[in-house]
Amino acid sequence: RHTHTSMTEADVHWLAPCITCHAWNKERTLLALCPNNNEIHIYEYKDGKFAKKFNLKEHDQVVTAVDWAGESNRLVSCSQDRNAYVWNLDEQGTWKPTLVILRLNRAATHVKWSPQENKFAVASGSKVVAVCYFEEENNWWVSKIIKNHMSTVLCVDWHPNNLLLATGSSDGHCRVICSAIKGPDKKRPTVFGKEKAPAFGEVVADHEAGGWIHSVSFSPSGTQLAFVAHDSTLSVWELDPAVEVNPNAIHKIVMKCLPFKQVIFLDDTRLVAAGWDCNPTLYAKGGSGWAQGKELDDPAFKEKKEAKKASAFDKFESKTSRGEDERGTTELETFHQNTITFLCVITRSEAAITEFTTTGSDGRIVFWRSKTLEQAFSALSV
Amino acid sequence: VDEGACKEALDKREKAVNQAITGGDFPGGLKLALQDPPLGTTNQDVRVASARLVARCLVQIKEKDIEGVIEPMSNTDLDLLMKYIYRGLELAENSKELLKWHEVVTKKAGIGCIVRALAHKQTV
Repeated sequence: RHTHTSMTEADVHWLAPCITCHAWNKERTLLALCPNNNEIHIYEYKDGKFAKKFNLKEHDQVVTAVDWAGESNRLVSCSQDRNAYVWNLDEQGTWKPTLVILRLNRAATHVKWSPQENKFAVASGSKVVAVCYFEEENNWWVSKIIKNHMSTVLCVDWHPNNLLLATGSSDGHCRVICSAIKGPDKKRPTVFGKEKAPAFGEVVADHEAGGWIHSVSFSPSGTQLAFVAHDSTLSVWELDPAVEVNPNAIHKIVMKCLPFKQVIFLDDTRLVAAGWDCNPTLYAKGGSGWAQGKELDDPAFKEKKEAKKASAFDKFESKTSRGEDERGTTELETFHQNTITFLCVITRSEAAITEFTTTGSDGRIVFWRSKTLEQAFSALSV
Repeated sequence: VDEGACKEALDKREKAVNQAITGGDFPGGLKLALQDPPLGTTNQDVRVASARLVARCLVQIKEKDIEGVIEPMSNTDLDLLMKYIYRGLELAENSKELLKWHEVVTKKAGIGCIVRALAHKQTV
């Protein structure tokens, strides 16, 4: 009836007390993460092990998001200190930061490179999104501000066409906004059947959900937009820029569990979401729409961790940091012991199902491999 | 939010529910009490009266019958019922019965239902 997953302890690594965000380089040999402080740590991942290589210290407050531009090998980071830095690796092998003046008066919450890596968008608590591009003549990054939000912008995701940006906000709205900039972009997008190409910052699609929108994600083909809201719902909007916006083409899944914090499309018919239940959940699209999800981290299928005798250090550690003793345990059955706050796709190919990693408030990074995903998807009845 | 329409709907609802209760049809009364919820109304009296109306039906249904009553209910209805349960608990009336309903509804609709009752801005 159920197949045994092939996940092992080797796929879980405890790197910090708490991780706010993470990003992989193109080859998946380097991992950048923020251990819930003002630093960015870069680890080398080789032979299944992590080794800390760099400590990037430039921000003054917690780094809320990092994104790695694969092709150009640049990092962008944003922080509660209202700043963003672009990091370049110089010939000596050091990461050199370049400050980007965002003109924000509140924390930056999220940042994403555009698909062509010539722009990046920073979401912020000042109810705006700063879209930044590099001005060659002045040799610096310039930001253009998108308003149109009534509260904190919590997340952003770029459309594959490099010209549209989806945003999620704590005003409960999921918006698609034109982010074509004269200079880096050759033309403005003609989208959604509009006669006139929208201007920069113009909202071309807007939907109000039942709560804060924690994460938005475009499908690889750019014809669907998924978003997760704090009222424990996951929605997928059929939003093809080639046709007019249909405000009713939204498939809403009402969940039984705690809300999701992250959602990412794995391919056009599969997506994964994770959040406060510490358990990545897979969804697949079938004939009748999106099916109810399958949790990836099912304690029933896992190789049960042998009740190993806790070492003296473990006992001391749990007593001092969590006030636990042997009598009770607050350990969860899932690999993640606290909220999953970030999800990063590792591989995306035509043939194989993608792999991804999750990091959470428990400081762990967990690898979710092809085999585990395949087994879960085959168990999912669509 | 049309406050006038909310008040009118409440009066209609009260009449229909009272009729059902007098006839002894408590599940039917509940179904009627859940119709036309005064979502987003600022009128506290309408709010309280609507919640009390639902609670009246809830307390009449025997504990062993609760599961059967909520079994055919849709996700939307369960979310609405959960919101009314919280309103009732706020009024601190019939807490014992409401907590039993809360337990059974959560078993069916999950924690997500509770999250929605707390997260939605437009509520009863």
